[in-house]
Amino acid sequence: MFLQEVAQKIQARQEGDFSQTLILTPNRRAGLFLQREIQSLNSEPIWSPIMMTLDEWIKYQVEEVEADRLSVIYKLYEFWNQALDQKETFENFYFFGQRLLDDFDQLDKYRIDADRLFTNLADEKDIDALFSDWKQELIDHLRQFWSSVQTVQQNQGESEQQIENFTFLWRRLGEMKRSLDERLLAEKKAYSGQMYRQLSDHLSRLDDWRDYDIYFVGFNRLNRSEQKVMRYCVSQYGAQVFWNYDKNLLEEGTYNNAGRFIRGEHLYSDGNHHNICSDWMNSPKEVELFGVQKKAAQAQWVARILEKSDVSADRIAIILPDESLLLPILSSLPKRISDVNISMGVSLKETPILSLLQQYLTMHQRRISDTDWFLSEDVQRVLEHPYVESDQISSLSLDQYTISSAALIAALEPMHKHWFAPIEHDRPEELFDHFLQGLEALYQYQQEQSAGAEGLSQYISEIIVFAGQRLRRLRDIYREERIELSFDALHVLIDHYFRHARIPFKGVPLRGLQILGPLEARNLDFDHVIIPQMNEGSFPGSPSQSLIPYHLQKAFRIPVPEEALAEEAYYFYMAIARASKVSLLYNELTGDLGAKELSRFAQSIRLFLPPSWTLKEKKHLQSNQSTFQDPVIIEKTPEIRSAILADLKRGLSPSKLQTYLDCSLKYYLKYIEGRRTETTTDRKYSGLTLGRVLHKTMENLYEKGRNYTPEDIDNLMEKAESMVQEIMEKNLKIHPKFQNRGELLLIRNYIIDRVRHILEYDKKWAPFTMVQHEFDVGDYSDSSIPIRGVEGLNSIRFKGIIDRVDKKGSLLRLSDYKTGVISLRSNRPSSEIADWEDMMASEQKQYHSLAIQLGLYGWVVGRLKPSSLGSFQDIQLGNYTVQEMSNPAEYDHRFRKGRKVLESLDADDYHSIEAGLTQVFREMLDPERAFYQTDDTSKCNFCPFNQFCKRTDPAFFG
Amino acid sequence: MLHVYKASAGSGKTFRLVLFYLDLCFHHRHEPNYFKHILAMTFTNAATAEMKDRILRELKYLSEGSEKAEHAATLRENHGLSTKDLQRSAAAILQSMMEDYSGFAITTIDSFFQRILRVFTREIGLNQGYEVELDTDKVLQRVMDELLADLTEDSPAMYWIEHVLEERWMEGKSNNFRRDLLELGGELFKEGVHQKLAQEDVSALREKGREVYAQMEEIEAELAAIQDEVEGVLYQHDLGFDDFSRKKSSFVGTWLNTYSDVSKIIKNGPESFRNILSKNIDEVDSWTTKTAPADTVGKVEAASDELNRLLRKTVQWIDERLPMYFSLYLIRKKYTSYGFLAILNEYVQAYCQREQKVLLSDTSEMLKEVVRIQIMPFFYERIGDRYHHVLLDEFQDTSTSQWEVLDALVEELVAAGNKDSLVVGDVKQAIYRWRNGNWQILQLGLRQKYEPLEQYRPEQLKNNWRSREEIVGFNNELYGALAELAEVELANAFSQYGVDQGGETSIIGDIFAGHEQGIHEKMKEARAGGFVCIDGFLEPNKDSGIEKEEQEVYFFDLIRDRLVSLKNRGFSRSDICILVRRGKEALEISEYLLEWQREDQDTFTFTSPQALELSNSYIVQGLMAFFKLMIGREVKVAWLEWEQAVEKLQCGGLSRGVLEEMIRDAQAQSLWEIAERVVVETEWSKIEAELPFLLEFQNQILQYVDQEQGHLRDWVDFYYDREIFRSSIILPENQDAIRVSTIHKSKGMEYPVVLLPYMDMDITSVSKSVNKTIIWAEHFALMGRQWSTYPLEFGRHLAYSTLSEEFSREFIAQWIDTLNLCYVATTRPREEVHLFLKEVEPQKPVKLLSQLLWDALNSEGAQDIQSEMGHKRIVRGVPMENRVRKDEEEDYDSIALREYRGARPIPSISDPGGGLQEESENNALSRGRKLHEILERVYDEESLNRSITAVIEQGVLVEEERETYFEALSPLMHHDEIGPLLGLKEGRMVERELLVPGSVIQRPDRVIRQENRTLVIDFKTGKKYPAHRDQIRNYMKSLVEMKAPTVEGYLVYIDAVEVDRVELS
Ligand code: SF4
Repeated sequence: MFLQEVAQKIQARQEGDFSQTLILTPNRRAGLFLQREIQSLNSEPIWSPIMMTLDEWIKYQVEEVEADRLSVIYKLYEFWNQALDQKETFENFYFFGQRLLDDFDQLDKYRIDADRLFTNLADEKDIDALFSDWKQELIDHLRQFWSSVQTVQQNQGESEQQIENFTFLWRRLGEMKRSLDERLLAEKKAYSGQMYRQLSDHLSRLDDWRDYDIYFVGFNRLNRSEQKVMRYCVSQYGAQVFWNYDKNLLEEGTYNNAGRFIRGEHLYSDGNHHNICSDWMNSPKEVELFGVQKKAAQAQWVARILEKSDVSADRIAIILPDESLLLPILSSLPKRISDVNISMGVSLKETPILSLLQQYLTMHQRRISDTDWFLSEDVQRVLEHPYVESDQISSLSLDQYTISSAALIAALEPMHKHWFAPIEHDRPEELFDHFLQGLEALYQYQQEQSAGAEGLSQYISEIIVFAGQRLRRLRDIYREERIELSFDALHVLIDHYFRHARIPFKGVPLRGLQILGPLEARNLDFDHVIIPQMNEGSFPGSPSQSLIPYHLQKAFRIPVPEEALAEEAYYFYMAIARASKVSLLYNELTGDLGAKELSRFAQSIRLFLPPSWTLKEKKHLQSNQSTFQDPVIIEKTPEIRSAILADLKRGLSPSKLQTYLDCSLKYYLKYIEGRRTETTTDRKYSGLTLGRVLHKTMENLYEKGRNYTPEDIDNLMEKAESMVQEIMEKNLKIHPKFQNRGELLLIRNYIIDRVRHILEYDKKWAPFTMVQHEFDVGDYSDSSIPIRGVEGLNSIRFKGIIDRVDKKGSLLRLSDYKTGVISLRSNRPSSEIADWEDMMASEQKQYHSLAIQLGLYGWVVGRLKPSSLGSFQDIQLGNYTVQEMSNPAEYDHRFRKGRKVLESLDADDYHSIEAGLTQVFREMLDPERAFYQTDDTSKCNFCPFNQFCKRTDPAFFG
Repeated sequence: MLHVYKASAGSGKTFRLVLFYLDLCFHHRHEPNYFKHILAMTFTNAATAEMKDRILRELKYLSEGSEKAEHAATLRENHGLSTKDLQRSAAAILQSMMEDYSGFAITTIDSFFQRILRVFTREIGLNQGYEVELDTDKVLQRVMDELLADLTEDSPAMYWIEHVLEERWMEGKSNNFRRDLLELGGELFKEGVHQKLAQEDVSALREKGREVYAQMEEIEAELAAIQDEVEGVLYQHDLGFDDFSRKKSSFVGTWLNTYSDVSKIIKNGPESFRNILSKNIDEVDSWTTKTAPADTVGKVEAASDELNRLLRKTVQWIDERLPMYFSLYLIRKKYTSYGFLAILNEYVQAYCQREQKVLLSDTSEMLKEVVRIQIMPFFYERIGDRYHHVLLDEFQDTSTSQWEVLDALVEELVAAGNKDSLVVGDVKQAIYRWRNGNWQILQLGLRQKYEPLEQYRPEQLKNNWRSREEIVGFNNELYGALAELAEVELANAFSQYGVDQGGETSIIGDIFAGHEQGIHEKMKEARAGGFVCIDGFLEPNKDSGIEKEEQEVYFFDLIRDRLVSLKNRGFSRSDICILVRRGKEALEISEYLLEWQREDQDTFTFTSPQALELSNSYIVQGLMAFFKLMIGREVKVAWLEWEQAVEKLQCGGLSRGVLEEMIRDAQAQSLWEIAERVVVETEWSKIEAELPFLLEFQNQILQYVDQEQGHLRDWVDFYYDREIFRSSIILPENQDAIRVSTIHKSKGMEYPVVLLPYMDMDITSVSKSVNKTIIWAEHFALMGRQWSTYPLEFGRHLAYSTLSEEFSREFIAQWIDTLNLCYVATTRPREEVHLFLKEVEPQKPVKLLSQLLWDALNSEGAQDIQSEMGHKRIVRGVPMENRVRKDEEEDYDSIALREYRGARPIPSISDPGGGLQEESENNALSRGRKLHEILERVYDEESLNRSITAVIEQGVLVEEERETYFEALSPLMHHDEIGPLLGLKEGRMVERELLVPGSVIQRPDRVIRQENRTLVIDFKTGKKYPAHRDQIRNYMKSLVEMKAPTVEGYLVYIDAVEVDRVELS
């Protein structure tokens, strides 16, 4: 084992005294393990050697402090706009800036002359003049690139413009870097590459360490600054270097070039260099390769592999190239694993905090401009967030469209107030403070909670604290750099910033099963190594792209993507080099949504299996038998039957009848099982609102009991518009500003139009007496109506409200305003009806909800003759289907049965309605007839049970 | 040179592709990494993986000299290599490939395009953070929100939206604004509409619209004016309809009454109108009946000159003006929705720009622009690779814009002379026109471009390697006959619609030219036999006297029996595939299969797309119910769903108390954990049959968390709105079940036996009356204006219009679509194919594919099977009895899970002792931790400042805390005792650790090692505790053991500004 050997060698050299010893490793975890090895070699207390990563150490030597990335990018952004004399938005620049900064960083780490790089060399002579000191091979690369620029320049036209853009930008990049570097240094700050360059420029700064015994342990690829540092330490202080590799990697062109850097570094092997090698040709290895579809099953298989493994848990490592598998694997670990040591973090995006922040931002962003009114739906989303979970939510009238900040603050507990504090629209940074205060309050609350019950609240607190810290930092940079951010930019930035934030699992001792990322696994050896997601794009991942063209990278010896890949290959092969058992899992599903193909590493093993290894390929195949969910059928047991009877005795309303006629199962669920669903706030204002406003407007326009002449109606016409507005404001609490835009504007215009159509039509019908809007039939029907021929049901009571009752002479007219879909039979006017009995037969194509409803009212009113309606002779049914009324002159509110116009209900009608009803009751009570799902799936579109029935309409958008 | 392999079904194109690739490699074998210059593109990731795998394996076999190498002989011959050399070169190439695997460029077109896009982001106006958006529904919903929110009385969108809604309501659609608009908006992302609309200038559209309306009125008025004139003439001569023969049905009646205005012509079509009028021109004798009174005859004669003139004028109007009217009518029909979509599209573009999203479908359009102005050498410099050869597979499905990008590459290579590139495809298998696949390029474009340059080298792959002899023979005959027949039928149809066919019909013959395949000599024996069975049925109607229902029962019984007999003859279930065209058909046949499966699992176990959907699973139902209960949505229904799941799964009946507790706990958990907890508590995790669904559900959650923001509530919305419940589990390939699949999905697959029960599809959609096909006409002229693109309803109206060319183009294209679909279907089988054709009697013009097929087959010889049911049969070959199934050897073990395991508490969550807890102590928010961080680097006031800055940059401290912390620490510097202690430099060891055997690592804040004494300093915040002393004494003890001279301990209390000297007692 590598670290063990290193520890022994160092122990031998130091003879137990480590007080002046510095051990540098590429990764922290290797340092920890090495420290433990050293500890175990000593039987007395000792000074621990100083364990540092090379990166830490280098930065430690530099005076400048490392600048926060975001603020560097912002500075770069300013120089960018200056240099190119333009005004790009920050959110647009942000990602480009990341890449640019990464390139700058590399240039410094690799000690590349940026000024030379960023020169336009399209003119051949320049190359000869400026690069006479260069090797021919490098100059060739240089030529290759710039000559292609030349060819383009010789071509005229648009491509030339492109080149212009390119060279213009290219030249400015050097300037930009210089300005950025200077500015940072002036502030005593630096980005990481700059720090490397600083130190490698001033190696004597290391002289503080001259008395130390320095060890470099387990490095592979070093950038040129690091190389300089290492060489200096070796030559000046006699530092010792331990290389870790497998012998078989030395041969060129094998194993995905994993040995590339070792071969390079191997050149200088003097007394200060020690090679600690394994040789897998001589150590048998069992390799399993599992093809599994997608990720969830991989986590399951990892657990099975662990369970079966005969290796003790602390000699097993799971190397996770893809962190999204972390939680799934953790939660499926088998019992035999008691301790787990995780060197990865949980992404903040996995926690609900990011969604809270996003919802909060959205709420403010969508606030009505110039007011402190929020959209209720947005408020609701914030208050219902699992972390916020306000109990007072029910006390707020969130069914209204909008709600003011003041109202919220008055109603809520102090801890929730911060969320709704008003802010200036043009200063979104105020949000930071409010949000942070909100978090603080939440934190306090969770702390109080955690006093009693441990665990959960504690975890939430952690997340809150961590998120708060990130946010505070963001705010500081924001202020410091005076970043101008729009709401949109803030969204982008916060999203990006949080997505990449990891809450570390930390502080667990080096015990038990190890779960690590490929980088953290460097230099550690285990007996059994398990690696899931062995797919291209995951392991190896996709190397990041540079802005510097390939041949220029080559010319300046800037690392090209191949090198990053060779480096990853090294991680992979070294991770398994000393293991006796290797389990590789890969996502076998290479579909459009699936992963990329099998990793080249696994492919290599497959193709070039060393003779001492065995390879077993396995595939996860889970067969399934096709079934569909059974249709829902509810048989009528005697109990159910008596429940139906009881329900009918409670009274019959048109909607109940309709429900049954629509779908017997729906009736059963709603009325017998009592699964009446709460009307959820109708978020996207639609039919429901529309109907409400229209009804209210009509009710308010007309006075009860008054006579109306056509002239009177002209007056009403004038009032229509303002009445609609008033109703929307009063009844729906829609802030007037809101009515003038968006969906509500559409709705308002629509309603005003419809109200006008109705009035115009009424004018045709005038003069008449408006008896009443919203006439409650139930009030007058305490005496029930006898029914014949239904077993167990002798009479029936009615409930229901008639939209409008008016009278012309002795003709009483019962009408309904219908705003929604008229009938399921498209392209037929709503006025066409069939025989009552036919319409009321279940699963009928003739079905006509409006006619049935009005018919029922007519029948009840005709039978009961409520005194409050005054005297009348005949009853007429009024069909106010507003969608059809756009041409009032041609409209007719009367129903037609074939050619016959239904002037008033006659004896036949009464008879037929009654017969229809009796038929329905008999059927409802018929024990032989089960409740079943309707055949007509279009009825399911608006049914609250459609998710249960799996009858959601594919075209339906929420 | 551009090589074009025309690869009919089963002609071994992948084999040839691999060979072509290897040939290139071996040709340049002295440069083993030459493969870097070969770019091969396929359509799917799966095809990519397969091709890579085949090349690697082949090279491996070649390098080992293995018998499994398929191309050894050819390569040896082509490159004059000895066995040794071949082996050596193969090994070198393979080695090199594995070393530079990224250069092994076999990729999908999409990912290649993505790669280029990444390089040219700035040129395209994107920033580096752009994302490719696959989810157009999401975009649509967002954009619709924005569009609606922006709406004001005078915004341009208002006009379109109001009109669109008005129209939809007129049609009796619902009045849910958002939903209506979304439904229409969905059109935007179908079949490239969105790209086409990008060219539209919306502001000019209203102007055009006004013109259209005005023009239509004008044309209407012309007819009305003629009709007025006619009436005038009649009046003048005192004539009425009754004076003419056939009275109201006379030509005059037709003229004035039946076709009283243009809308009647629209409704009934112009043919009979024109017929009747033109027939009567100058036929004055026939205008009246023989028995008509002389007086009438006289009046008619008197009016005849005028009427003849007007008849001519009307006919002229029909011929010259009506087609225009039809065009305008079609324009008007789509006018408002077009305008609305165009506005919406502007929002989409703005959204994509702002949010930095690239719709996947837009990439090729964007790149087109990039490559258009790039000079290739520079282009390659930018992308970092230099390709010398491009290989394109499935070329018939390439879209125009994709090809424009790729052609830029190919063109340059071909121009360079000896560089060989390859295109492989088969127009006969082009069935993705609806996804913008353009087979014209393969059929015509390539040749037109490259033949004149003498760089075009087509090759027809002649042999079939897939199917048995009878099947190959059957297809050879069938498509020969079909192609001939199709041309006749097309000509008939065109003359019926009065459309000029312009010789285009010969395209079908061209496409199917060379369809005939042979069987390679060495395969003759292995591919002998095969069986084709065609069952035809007469249409159930009065003439045939067949009851529809009865025939239906008979029909499906026949399929059932066929499946039974296949089984009896030795086919296993997985040998059989039932191909359908649409989901609806798959559902129908699946329902039958389900019924049969209940009775006889052994024969009928099957799988179909619908059966694999998540919504079939009760576990998934239960989980979603649980989520809904958690967020209190539709609680009562959720309970119902939960209870039903428990009942059907026969376990998981938890008490409400337990459930409520679970719900409470779950608030802080991730979606994944919640789901696991539920299945584990309910023991649903142990139901093996449901496992695939559960796994897929969890996969969906993982994907959701990865790509979206949001928690429970959002997930529930997402699940329903985006129809996650329709996502399918993936079926293991070797599952022993009858497969039901769509023809589209079956492309590239093969099955021993194929059943085709739904071949009675319409050949074209011309006679559809609802949901008419929309075609996007491009670059046409109308009313003296240029129209860049416009959606037109495909149907008879289009045929009559001035845009009839669009009609014929689409008509032919639909014919080809159908024939191709048929071709793909009948070329899947290896051993047997069974066609079940309904409504086979000939009809003119032919309407259904089944009729066409029956006609093309030699159907006179069909044998009567059941004449009451109109059942006839044609067979070819003999069914194989006692088929012995060779088990193919798999080189892997299949393994399955028995149950799902999980819900182990995650360390950080349920174990407050571990995980994050410890971190919290040290957390940056804790003041003590911050102070320690600062003190690490503090010796005096100056270093204090510097240290605070450093800590701020690390994000531990925030700027506003600077003061506070400075003030908290600076008194220490001035303290008589502490100040000097901190200032001690010599021998200072900050945060140095002590390794004590068998113990945790000790970490005193500071140790100062002087020659004769050793100082240990620990900083503390807050109050004094005795434990502090114990801790520092431990440090001191270790130091003593390490033989440090005179160990002194100091506890520095920061808040109190005090120091406590500790003795090691
Ligand atoms: S969804 Fe459809 S089948 Fe189910 S209850 Fe509602 S209407 Fe009936």
